Amino acid sequence: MRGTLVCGVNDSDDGRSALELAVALSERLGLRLVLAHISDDIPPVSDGDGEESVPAKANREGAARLLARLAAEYGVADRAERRSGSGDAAALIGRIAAEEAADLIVVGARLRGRLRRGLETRLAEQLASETPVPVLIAPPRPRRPGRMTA
Amino acid sequence: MKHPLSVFSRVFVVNAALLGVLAALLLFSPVEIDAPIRPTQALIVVAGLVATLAANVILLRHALAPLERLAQRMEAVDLLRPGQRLQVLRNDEISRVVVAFNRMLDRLESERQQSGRRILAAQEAERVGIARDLHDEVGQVLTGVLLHLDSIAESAPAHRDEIDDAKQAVRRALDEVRRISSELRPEMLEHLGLVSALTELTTTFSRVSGVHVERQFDQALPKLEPDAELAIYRIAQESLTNVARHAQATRVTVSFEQSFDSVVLRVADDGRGFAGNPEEHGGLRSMRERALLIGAALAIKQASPNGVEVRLEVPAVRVVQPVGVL
Repeated sequence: MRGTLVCGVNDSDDGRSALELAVALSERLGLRLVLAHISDDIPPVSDGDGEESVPAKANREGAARLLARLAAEYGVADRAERRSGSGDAAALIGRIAAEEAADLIVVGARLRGRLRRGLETRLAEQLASETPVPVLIAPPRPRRPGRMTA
Repeated sequence: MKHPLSVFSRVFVVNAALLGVLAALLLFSPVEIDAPIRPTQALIVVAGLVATLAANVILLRHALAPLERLAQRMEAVDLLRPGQRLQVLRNDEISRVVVAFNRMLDRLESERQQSGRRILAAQEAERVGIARDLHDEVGQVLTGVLLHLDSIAESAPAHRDEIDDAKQAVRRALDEVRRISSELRPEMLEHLGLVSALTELTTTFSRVSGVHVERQFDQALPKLEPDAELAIYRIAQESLTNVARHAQATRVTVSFEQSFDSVVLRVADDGRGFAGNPEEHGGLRSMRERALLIGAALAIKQASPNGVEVRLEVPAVRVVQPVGVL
């Protein structure tokens, strides 16, 4: 394989758009694919005696199930590696990209809304200060069938 | 986008403009303030105050947002993960603080690398010294004890069984001394190369721990610089030590393969995985230090379906060019 691609995924439209693009790129370019799911809530890591706390374990297992389901859905269950974490998405994706020697990060972006044009790219902007790895923003899926996005 | 005005100037200009507008309204508009004030007049005054405050909130939040990001970065910066730098989007005094902070991180990372190299070099020198002392001193003494027991056995045949037991115990101790000496100073790494050293390491690990080892080593691998080879060996060694101590695994896979422009070491077990914060486990920080010094990427993560995987990717810049290649 020629290099590594890290993709930030979740179950939303923009997360799936990123995953779809990442799968296509990894196949086309022969890149190793690492799927990263970051949840917002930060449960306590341990319950005082060094063992993983129940909420942390539930969080981790939930993330593992989600990644397994998404990987299977996009046909990469056998080759995509999976990482998960809780906390600041940009910081954790940046850390995962460094640990996995990523050559490219793919993240999704939502449309800003009916009143504002363009994409919500806050995560990509934050990643710029977390990692020197290039970040690719996956275009969102059209709101309605047949409608093209700018 | 760059703002040539300082934060102070921007806040002052906006506030001056707002107060100027209010003053102009009071001086030149037909609006009058009665005593006691009428509700409509009070509404106008309050609206002006709210507009002033809102403008200040929006402006100050926008102007001071880089300070908030800087504070977050200062709290979360990890020198074991170089490259975390804040973007400089403006040209004001806050941006100068950000630039100074980024430069300070450059210096800290450079100094940490240099001190890390010195510390690891000192550690390796100490290990070599201890290995030599173990082999030359303790090994010699135990060998002498064996020879002495042989001579006693000849002169005291009635106690041959006890003497044989004592000789077996001394041989086991001698084997342990040789094993410990080999772990401290991997001579096979110097004489036969990294793949041979990893083969011996995994063979010894399997014999001592009882964990089955599956090896996947590429036959044709690029030659790496000596400090990179030593770091890879030590990280593999530490990974296997952690498997033996913590994993409760029955099987571990060790692979060392070329991956386009890098080489990749993987150690994956089928044990119980992480309990608590993996960063708190001993030895992981030293693994990260070693990886950092050779410019490698180290991931320590949950393996699928169970266990832990350590993945080290060393870039091809650490490859030694073969003789004759320009």
